[in-house]
Amino acid sequence: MKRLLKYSVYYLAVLIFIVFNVVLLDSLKYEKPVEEEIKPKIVLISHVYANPYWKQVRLGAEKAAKERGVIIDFQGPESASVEEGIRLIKMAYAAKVSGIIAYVQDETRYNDVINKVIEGGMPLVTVDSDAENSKRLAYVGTDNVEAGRVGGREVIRQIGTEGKVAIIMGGKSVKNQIERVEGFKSYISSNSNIVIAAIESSDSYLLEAELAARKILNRHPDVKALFCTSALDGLGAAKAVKSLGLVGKVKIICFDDLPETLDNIEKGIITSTVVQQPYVMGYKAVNIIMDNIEGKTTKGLFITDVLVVDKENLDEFRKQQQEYYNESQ
Amino acid sequence: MMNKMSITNEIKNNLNQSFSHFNQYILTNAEESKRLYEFHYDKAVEDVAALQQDSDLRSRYILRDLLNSLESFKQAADRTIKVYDDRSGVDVYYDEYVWTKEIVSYCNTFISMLSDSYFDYNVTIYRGLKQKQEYINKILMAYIMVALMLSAIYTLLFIGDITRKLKELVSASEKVVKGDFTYNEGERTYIYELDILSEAFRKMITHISKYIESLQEKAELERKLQDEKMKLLSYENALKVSQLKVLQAQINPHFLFNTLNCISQTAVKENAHKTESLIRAVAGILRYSLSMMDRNATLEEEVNVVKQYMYIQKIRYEDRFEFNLKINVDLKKIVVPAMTLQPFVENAFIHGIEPKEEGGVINIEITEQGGFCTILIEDTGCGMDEDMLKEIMSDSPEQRPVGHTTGLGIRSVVQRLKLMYNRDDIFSIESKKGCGTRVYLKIPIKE
Repeated sequence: MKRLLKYSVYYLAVLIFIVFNVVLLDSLKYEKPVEEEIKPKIVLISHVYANPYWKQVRLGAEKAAKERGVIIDFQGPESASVEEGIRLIKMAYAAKVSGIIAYVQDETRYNDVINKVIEGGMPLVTVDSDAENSKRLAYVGTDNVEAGRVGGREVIRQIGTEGKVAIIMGGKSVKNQIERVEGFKSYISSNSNIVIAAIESSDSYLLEAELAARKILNRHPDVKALFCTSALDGLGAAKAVKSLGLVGKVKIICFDDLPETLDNIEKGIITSTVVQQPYVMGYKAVNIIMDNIEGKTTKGLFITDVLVVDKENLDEFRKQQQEYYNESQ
Repeated sequence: MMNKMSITNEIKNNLNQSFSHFNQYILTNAEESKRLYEFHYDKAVEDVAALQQDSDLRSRYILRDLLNSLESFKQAADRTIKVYDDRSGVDVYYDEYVWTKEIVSYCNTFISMLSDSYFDYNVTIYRGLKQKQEYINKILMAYIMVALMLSAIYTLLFIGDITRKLKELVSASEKVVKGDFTYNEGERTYIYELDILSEAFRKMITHISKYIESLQEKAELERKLQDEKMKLLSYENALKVSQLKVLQAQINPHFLFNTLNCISQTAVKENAHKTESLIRAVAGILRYSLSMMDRNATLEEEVNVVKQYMYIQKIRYEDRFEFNLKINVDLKKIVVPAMTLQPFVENAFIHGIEPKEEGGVINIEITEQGGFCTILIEDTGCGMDEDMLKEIMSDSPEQRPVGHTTGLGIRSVVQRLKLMYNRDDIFSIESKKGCGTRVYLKIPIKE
């Protein structure tokens, strides 16, 4: 027995010694950085770098990039700035990247630089907002007029074809806002007897949106629904409706899928929201660039559909978003 | 890593040098400036290429952009120079010039991005090293702990073994000290030297015990030998002593004999027959005592001497005592040292009869009893108390019995007998004050 103990101690000691040495040597090894081959690069220039909407564009783009063997360099100004946007495009051009996907902040000022890039033989695709008169290869994004029409259809679905509605829009001179209002008006005028009681602008500020909503509801207590054309307008309207105790009486149809917006839908304060598909945009844009690089000339407009998210399909929608997010990890 | 940082800095310097020489050329049209612009540009590109060989992934992407931007700069600058060389107006090459300038600013942006990237990479490497360091520290700590534990366990076991063995050895040696040579070797330890030691100890103990046994045997033998020697010596000693006594007693025997012969002749001439027989008896005793000193005598010869002695005493003391002799043994076959019987008889006379006024009887009986010849010498003298007996039996020199014819004491006579027959029960004496004395001699008969 004793002998056995003795020998087992010996063997254990030797074993531990060996294991420790292996572990030590292993940990002392200097790991040379893996010589990964660098891939072609596509630069994605967003509207604002930290915007969650653009995060989704990025996720879609990265998915496509992974599939096509390139990488995405996601860039954007810290806050909306035309100069910075243009500078980023020029910089990418000077660095001779494989392709550029850009958000156009101001058509007139962007045309020159876009044309310069295309003339230099570099593929450029606009996303989410377009420069129609430039030589860009393609535009991927929402047709905002169509999105406005979808909003109109949703309002009719919620309140019927009679009664009053009011509109709260973001920037009065912002192209996509104007187009959305335009589409909305055209749809309800041709499909119902609904009257538009008021149009207010919030300049895309939350507080302004709330004040605008209060003003409308005070002046026109018989308004059945508020149509809000930007993300923050919806939230401001929701605050106003909630504080005036009109939840459920006044429907809110708004745009985009901010987490707070979705929470409000869950609580029943916001009725429904028209959602664009930034993920799909990013994915599509990268594929167009790659097709062009690989010799399949792909040009023109690529319109991504909008979705209407309400209480019924909220969970499904969230699950979808989560999946996109998980894929990218 | 610092090297990369400095190279990055060098790239920046070269680019800006290149651009300023380009500017200089546009201003002055100096060929030297053009050469320098190209030289610095080449150096910058070279450095970028060098860095590309050995950078992390993120930095390599930035380096690619930088290299491309540098190329763009060169192209734009060359176009500007071309247009300028064609002597076009400022408005013609101005756009190109501005574009060139912009590209330089982009290059600088990339360069600062590169610095950041290297810095970040350094930071991550540093963090990694730190983590690794901590990890290694933990491993080492664990290593040391385990090693210590193991060695402690081993040491304890080892020491336990040693002490157990040593205790065993100590108890064994204590036993040995007490003279107990039974040492059982305990179980084996796994320590070679200790095992050898205990084995050696065991062997040593067995050897020692064997050795002691043999020593004891030897001692026994030697003792026996010594005893033999002692016996022999004391026998010889007794002999020598008796011889010495005899020699001391000799006043030239020839002279004595001749004188005695002369006296007996004279006695015959004077018709003194008693005197003549007396003298012959004395001469007989004398001759016997002289001639028998170095050989053993038969009991017959002894008895004859006693008879002659008694004859002399009879004439001296006439009828103060009676002498009876009873013999029913063949006296020839019994051998004793010479002058054995006479001293006892003389003793009986001197200590027993002489002091008594009214005299007494001396009996000698020689009988045979189962292989032994028993000699009884009895007197009805004054006897002795126990102190006297002891004195008679002791051999102390101041107690030399005086007046013996042969000068032989009882003690040496008895001793000679004992030595001769190697027995202790030869002599016994009983005596009572006023009742006489009995001496028994028990002598084996040798057929």
